[in-house]
Amino acid sequence: MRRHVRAAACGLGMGVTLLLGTAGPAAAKLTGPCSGTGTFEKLGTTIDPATTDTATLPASDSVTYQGSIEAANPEDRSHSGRIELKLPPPLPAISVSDWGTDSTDAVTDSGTYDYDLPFIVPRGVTMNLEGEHVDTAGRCAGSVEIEIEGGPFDAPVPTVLSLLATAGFGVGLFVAGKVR
Amino acid sequence: MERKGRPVLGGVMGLFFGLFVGLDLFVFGIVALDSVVITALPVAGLLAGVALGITAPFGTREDRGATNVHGPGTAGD
Repeated sequence: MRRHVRAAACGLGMGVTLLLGTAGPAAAKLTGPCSGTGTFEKLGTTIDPATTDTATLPASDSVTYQGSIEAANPEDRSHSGRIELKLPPPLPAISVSDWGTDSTDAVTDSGTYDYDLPFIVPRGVTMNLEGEHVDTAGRCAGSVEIEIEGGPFDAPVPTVLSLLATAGFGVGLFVAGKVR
Repeated sequence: MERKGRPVLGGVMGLFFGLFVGLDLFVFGIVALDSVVITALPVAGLLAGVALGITAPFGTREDRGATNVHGPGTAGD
């Protein structure tokens, strides 16, 4: 059972790492011994980091992934990894996924990963999806530019909050510039 | 230089004003996330806020006259 959990974690890690390459070689930087593809169900497209340049993704979807990592000695490896969506300051980075295990033999896996981006993620603008998979067999790192479908008011919370904060601090600036 | 406004408040407000103006520009797709504008706006806001606090250009003519006659801290108090 424990072995299956580790294998699943490994597979998930590798699969999600593969998704880093979904924006393709022009926008993506993918280094290391990982490879694979991801099929976005709503989008209806299979994305291979080797052939895709840019990606406009839905805010939520199911991704069927398959991936592998090249390992000369696959037995009893440890690995860990994470994926984050970087947002402009002062918004925090969004953790998409993280994983890790101290012992695994798996070098390939496939499965389905569901994601649902939170409401603070702006729509219709280009953002960086960054991640890494650190494995005994090697390190894969990726940085991808993605755009989430929609416009500024499809996710109104960041837009409205940002405008209100701008107005508020503008008033503060005016007050600071008044004769006291 | 004589301080007529609130330079510390101006600096803080200017910093955040610049930060959120940058976020507005990003959210509406006017500037990219890696644009230098995103970084420069808070710094520019900070400097502009301090300058506003020092020069205090806003206020009635009466306020400004009273400040000139009696010095800072007496006009609106």
